[in-house]
Amino acid sequence: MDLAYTLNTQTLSYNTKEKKRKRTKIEKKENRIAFLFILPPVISFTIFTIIPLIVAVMFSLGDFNGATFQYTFVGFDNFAKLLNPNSTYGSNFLKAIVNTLSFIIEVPIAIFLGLIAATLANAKGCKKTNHLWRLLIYLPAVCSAVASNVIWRAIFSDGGTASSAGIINTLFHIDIRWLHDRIPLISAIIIKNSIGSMGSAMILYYASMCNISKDYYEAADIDGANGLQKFTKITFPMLTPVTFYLLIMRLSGCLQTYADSYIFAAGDRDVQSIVYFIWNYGLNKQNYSIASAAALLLGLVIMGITILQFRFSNKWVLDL
Amino acid sequence: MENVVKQKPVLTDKQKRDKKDKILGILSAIGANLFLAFLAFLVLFPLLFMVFSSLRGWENYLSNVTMFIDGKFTFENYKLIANYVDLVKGYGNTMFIEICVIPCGTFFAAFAAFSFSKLRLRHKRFWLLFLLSGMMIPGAVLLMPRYVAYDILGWIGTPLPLIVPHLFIHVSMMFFFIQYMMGIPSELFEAAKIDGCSTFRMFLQIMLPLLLPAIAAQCIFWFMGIWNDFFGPSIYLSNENATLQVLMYKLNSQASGSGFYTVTFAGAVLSCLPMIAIYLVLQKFFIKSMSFGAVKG
Repeated sequence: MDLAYTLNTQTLSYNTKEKKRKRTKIEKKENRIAFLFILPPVISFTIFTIIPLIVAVMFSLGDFNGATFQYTFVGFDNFAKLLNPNSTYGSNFLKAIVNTLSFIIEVPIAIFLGLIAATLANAKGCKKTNHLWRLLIYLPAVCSAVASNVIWRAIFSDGGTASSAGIINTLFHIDIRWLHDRIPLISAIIIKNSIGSMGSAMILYYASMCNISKDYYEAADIDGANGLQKFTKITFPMLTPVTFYLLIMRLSGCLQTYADSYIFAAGDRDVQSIVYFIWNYGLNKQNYSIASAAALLLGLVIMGITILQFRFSNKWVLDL
Repeated sequence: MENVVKQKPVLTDKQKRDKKDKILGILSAIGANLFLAFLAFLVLFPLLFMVFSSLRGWENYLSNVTMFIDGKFTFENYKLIANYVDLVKGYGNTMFIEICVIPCGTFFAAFAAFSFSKLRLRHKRFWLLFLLSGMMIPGAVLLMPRYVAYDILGWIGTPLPLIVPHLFIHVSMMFFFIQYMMGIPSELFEAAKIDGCSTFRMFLQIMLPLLLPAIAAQCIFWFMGIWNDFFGPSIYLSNENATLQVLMYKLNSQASGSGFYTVTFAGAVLSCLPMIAIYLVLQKFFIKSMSFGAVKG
């Protein structure tokens, strides 16, 4: 074993040495050109991402005045303020976290609806119609967040400040203050988003259902499995990567939601999301330090989620 | 004789089962289609509501919200938009950003992807991981430092903050291209190299034509992303170069604020229409490119 190991390392080092010796002019030129090709993104990335990231960390560890450009180092004071629910910052931040977490309820609902829709569209009876259904169900996804939020606002309108009750309250003969009370407002956002993001889940599920080999189902047929068994024992397990992808994507999208609070809730103090909180304190009130600290906390969570995604998907394993 | 007599009941039994299966099949097909139609209605309801309500007079709308298809159609709302905002200018400003960013950004993304997937580059893994790490950093973290920097540079109020950072780098697009290029055989480039083809020509004449489907797939989504973007434009742009979505938001707060919901709907229809038209024309392409990245990855 040991001998084989040393032999291996020897051949390895020999190979690299040979490579080094054999690095011809052409190869060097190619390396230089290849580096030139990746230089624009690398420089742009350094200027617009790495440097701002460092500055954001500095902001969060200090007290920065945007008007006079004075900076004093205060350590973790900003984080302490944010995480202390008794201070004004802390109570607002806590509210933003709770709101954002409750928006996440949308994710499993949308994925579940998408899964049902894809399963039905993939069934034998929908062979001729599935294209139409996929086309229609995905269609709202191409509309802008502004337009869809504006429409949903009119649909949920409760006759508070505007002169008309919305179609939901009128149709069901109810009088829920959808746009003015906290719980109805959050539920309205969840309903709206579950319906809105169902389409992309359906398309992805449908596409990967088509990729599942028919052999599994034939084998299951021979064993006498029924439709439900086939779904729970074959289809759903085979769809795990897509489910995971959708979960992660929607989750990090939901954590960064802004339009829901800004447009749909019209900046309602009680329904601020985390990014709305950051925007409000950072750009609206020019308190760069608190906003940066909050953004970095959010960034840590999203970073964790992204690493999780890379770990579990085979995207990381790129053979170069 | 005996055999035939014995076989008959077996056959009818099977026929019975077939018939039962057939009826069940038809029933389940109807059920599935009905449920899908219901889901489609649920998803499309806001859009239908928007389109039909935008064609009604606002007094008409307020008197009865639920009967939104009442046959009394008018284009009055579309004319009224001009009283609030200049949507045509919004189209122009949005298209200006699209045209500045997409060709340049795509070209450099393809360039870098070519280098990563087909050329000999030292410390390749490091550089790739370096660039990919950008996908982990949410925009909110970079918001404040960037804003302060743009303020110093005097870029606030101009479209530059929405253009310059995206000219040379689009990480997810580059990543998609790398994956796509992995599927193109390297022998093609080895052969070209032996024939004395320069690297740049190799990229232009061999890789770029092969990459076109991937480029088109990615550009559609980038186009849609810029078209529908609201956060960035609402922060950086001034009134003169406000994009369509910013104007749409402004229209909403002005028109809906004073009760003219229907005018807002007309604006929403106009802001969504181009994207919906593109989607309907390129539908197969859309759905294919959407599933391509996720299913493969």
